[in-house]
Amino acid sequence: MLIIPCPWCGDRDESEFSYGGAARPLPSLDADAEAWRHALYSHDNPKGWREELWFHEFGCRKWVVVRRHTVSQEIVDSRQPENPS
Amino acid sequence: MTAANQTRRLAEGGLVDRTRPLAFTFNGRVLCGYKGDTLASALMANGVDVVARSFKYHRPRGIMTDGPEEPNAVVTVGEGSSRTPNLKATEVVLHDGLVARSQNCWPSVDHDVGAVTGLAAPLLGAGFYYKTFMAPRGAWPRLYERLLRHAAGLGRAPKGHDPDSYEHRHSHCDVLIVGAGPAGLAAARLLIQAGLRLILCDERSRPGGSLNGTMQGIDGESGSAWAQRVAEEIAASPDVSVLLDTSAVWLGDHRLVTLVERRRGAGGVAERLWLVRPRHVVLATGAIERPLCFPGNDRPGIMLASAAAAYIHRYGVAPGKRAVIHTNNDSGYGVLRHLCQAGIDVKTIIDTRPRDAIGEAALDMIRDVDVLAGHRIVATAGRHRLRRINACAADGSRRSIDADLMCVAGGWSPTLHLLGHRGGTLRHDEDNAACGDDVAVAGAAAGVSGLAECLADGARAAGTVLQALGRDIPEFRAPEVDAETETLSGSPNGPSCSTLDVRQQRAAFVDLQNDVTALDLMRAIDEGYGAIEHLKRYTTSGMGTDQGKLGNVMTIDIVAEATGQPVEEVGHTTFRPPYTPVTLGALVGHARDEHLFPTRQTPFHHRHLAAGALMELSGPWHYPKCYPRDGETVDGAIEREVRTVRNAVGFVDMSTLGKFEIMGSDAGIFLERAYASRVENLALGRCRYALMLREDGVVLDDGTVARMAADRWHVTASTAHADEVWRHLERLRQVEWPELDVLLVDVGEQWAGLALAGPHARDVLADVAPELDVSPEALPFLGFRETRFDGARARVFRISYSGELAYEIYVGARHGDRLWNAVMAAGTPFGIAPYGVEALDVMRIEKGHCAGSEFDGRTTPAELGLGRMTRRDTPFLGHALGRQRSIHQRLVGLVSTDRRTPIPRGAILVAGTARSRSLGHVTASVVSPTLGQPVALAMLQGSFCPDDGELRAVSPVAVLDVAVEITGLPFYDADGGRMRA
Ligand SMILES: [Zn+2]
Repeated sequence: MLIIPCPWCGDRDESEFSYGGAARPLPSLDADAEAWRHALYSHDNPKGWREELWFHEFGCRKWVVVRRHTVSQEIVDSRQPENPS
Repeated sequence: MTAANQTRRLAEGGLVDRTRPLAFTFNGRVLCGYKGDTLASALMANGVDVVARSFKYHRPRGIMTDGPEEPNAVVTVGEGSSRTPNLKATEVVLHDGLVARSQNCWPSVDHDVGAVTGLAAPLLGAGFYYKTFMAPRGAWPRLYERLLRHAAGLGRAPKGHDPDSYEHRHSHCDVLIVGAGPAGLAAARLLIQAGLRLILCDERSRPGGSLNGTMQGIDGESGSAWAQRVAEEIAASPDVSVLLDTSAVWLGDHRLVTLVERRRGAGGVAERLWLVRPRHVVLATGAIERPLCFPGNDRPGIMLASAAAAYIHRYGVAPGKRAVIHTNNDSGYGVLRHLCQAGIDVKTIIDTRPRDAIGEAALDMIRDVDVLAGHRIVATAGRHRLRRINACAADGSRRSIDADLMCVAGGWSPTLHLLGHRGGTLRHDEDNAACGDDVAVAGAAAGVSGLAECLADGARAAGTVLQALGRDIPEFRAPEVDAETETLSGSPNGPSCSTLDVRQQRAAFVDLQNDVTALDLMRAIDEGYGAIEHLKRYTTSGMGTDQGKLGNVMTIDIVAEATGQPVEEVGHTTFRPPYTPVTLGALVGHARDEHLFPTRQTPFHHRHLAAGALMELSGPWHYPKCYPRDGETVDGAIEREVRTVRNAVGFVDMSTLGKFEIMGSDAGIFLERAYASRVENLALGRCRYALMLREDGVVLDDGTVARMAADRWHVTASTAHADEVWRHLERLRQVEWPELDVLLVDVGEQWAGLALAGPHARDVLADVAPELDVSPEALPFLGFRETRFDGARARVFRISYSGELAYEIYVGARHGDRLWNAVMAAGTPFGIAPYGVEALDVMRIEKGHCAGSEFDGRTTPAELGLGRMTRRDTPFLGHALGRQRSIHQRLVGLVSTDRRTPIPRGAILVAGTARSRSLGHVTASVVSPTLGQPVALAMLQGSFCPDDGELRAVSPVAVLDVAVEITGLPFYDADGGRMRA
């Protein structure tokens, strides 16, 4: 069970969150099918650090971007999605 | 039953309380032990040699260890519904009235019929699951399955309701120390001096770990007394918990450690599951002695040397009368003194090493004992207990020794299973395996040997924790170890485990619990299963309830020897949680029956109950199925409710729908992007059915969108998808389109809603909402009005799910009661009645409306016949990929060819004979009271053409096969005149 630092609520238990997959923006709505297919189906599966989305559903109801290490499960920081770092 | 029957109990000594005798039952015999005993030590004291039968060959097995590594003595404890199978007798704390039984034996543990399968042993070798019982295929259900189910299986699960209670407890601390042996106690002492919040746990009933099984003295007192005193001192400190009989079973992510506290027999909860989140973990988990592999190494009377010493000192039990020590390293010589002290006659030490490899300190310890250096054991004899041992020297000369106890000392393996739970592999030499900076390993678990060294290492580990926390490290006062009593340690291991020619071995077991022999391993390696993880799965070595705590090392050594690889390259299998088996009761805690998961009630819940509703759980919701009246069947009630709606007026609870308010200057743009249907041009006071797609073009949900003001909308989501739609919309708003000025508010719980449906719905509404003009001109189909109900705000939508003239009325949740009363009062002249989810479903099927079983996450709007609800001109979410999807299936209506036989729900559609390819499936089926015949909705593959033959709905589950015909949809009121009335 992870401890996820929410930028709004501080360190909270994983059970308060829903997972949202890798944090990467969707193509624009008028992008072609190829761009959408790439965005949905060709995912990186990094061994190491990656940014992913978690929804603090049983908390502040904010989607947050979390940096997690896929092997050690370490989480170093989190941020609001609309403020890319 | 008297204490006198304990024939193996020593006259004195041991840490058991001889003033507290405890009566217990084993295989129907009433026996007696003492407080402080385990079931294993009490059985041994009573001279019980055969405790269980082995899993495959039903060989007699005795007690081999004194801990969770026990492979043999597996028993069922308790009776009836509180029965717990597969417990290790070495882990069961004896309490008064305990009832235990052997497993894997019939009719009794001493005379076992299954033992004849020993004759069929070649059939049950490596991979027997995959090979022996393969052909003929037809023999599976009749013969093989019955044979296997009877012969195999570890214990039987209880069937009834578990009468015991369990609980979970969450806790936080600075440091969790696992293991209250010398290293753990030393670490705890130092950390307390630094003022840290501490939890110290130990799997045994008594602190001290190895100190209880040896005679070492510390600070002028016995090791066990020292440990007891120090543990009490620790427990008395502020902010410290000492948990005994508590196993740490899982070291999870971010240091979430799961502990299981066993309290059976202590009153109150039977077991308590702790979820501890410490800032640091100290693993002082000790080491487990390794067994040796030789023919007949499973006979009762053969046990680990350290276990023999523990039974003598901890429990005051003599594990035998005439003993032989079998070792491959110097530590085996240390047990000699313990055996002699208990009056056990030791004549021989069989050492696999040549004489010049034996340490001098070891040889100094022996007096009047014959050391057979360079010998290996070729056979053991004895039916129910060890009687004789045959040893063979390198030159082939043989010796036969009479003994009823063999103490096996194969060296030590650090107990690092918890560390393994964090992923990665441990190096064989354990030179401080990568543990991260939040876990410290101390004492024997870190490969340290010697008491003084373990105490110092505990302090060292505490120091690293304090350093990491930025605290000062208090001075460590090393306890003084009595040199006279120091056990033989620090000696390097000899060649570990089997140095034999394992190809010769028949009954040389590596995994005693799963009955895997060295020969099985050799065969599997010959068959190409040389990789350790493959070998484990193929032979089942290490897959028992002991998880191969003893056997894994022997398996690794044999693989290394057979494949010529160094042990480091063979590696080890993955350690998975739990460290030792956990009962389902402990895992479940109080989350059982109605507490299994949280449930939800609508504002009308008590009204449903008062109206005689048959309630059922639909997802988390308590929802009425139907409202049977006196003498009415469920089917009869559903049929009546449907007729009431079709012919008069009924009402149904709509409060479970997801309800969101969407506002802001860009709210229209937001909805236009999120929904596939056109919504932005919706006029004020109008609502519309709308479809929402996933990014890949598959339908996510349907709902209604209503416009309350230029910048303010009310949207609904289906009950089942409400949470998912909410997450989805919030993600679009927060993550994908943050530039839009839009705000979402979940108002699902703010409103209580009833849908009025039926030809008289307008009359009822007019009475309930007198301020509202309900005429068709003022409130047309798909109209929306805000009004007042009895002084409170109300929202009225003219939408219909049933296909009749219908309105949904919403009032504040706290006004729900009054709304119910008003609807009931206004509707009574028309014969109004509430209806449940079943009638709702019947009517939507009659109308051909899609619901959850059609929106199954695989269907597109075009396949569901909803293509007209998606926009062609402007893009929306799911547009790009949805446009490209080909149509694989389509929604069709079905009727049974004979117009009488019901169509089975979930049936597979086939054409021609029943064995042909599936052409689709029935999604919803009902016998329509309105049409007087069975009707169904189905997804039919596009590849079906009528020339394929007669279409049939086949259910292998219900064993039904019904001829069906395709019809148009809807079944009822095709032009929609009734709902537009
Ligand atoms: Zn939050």
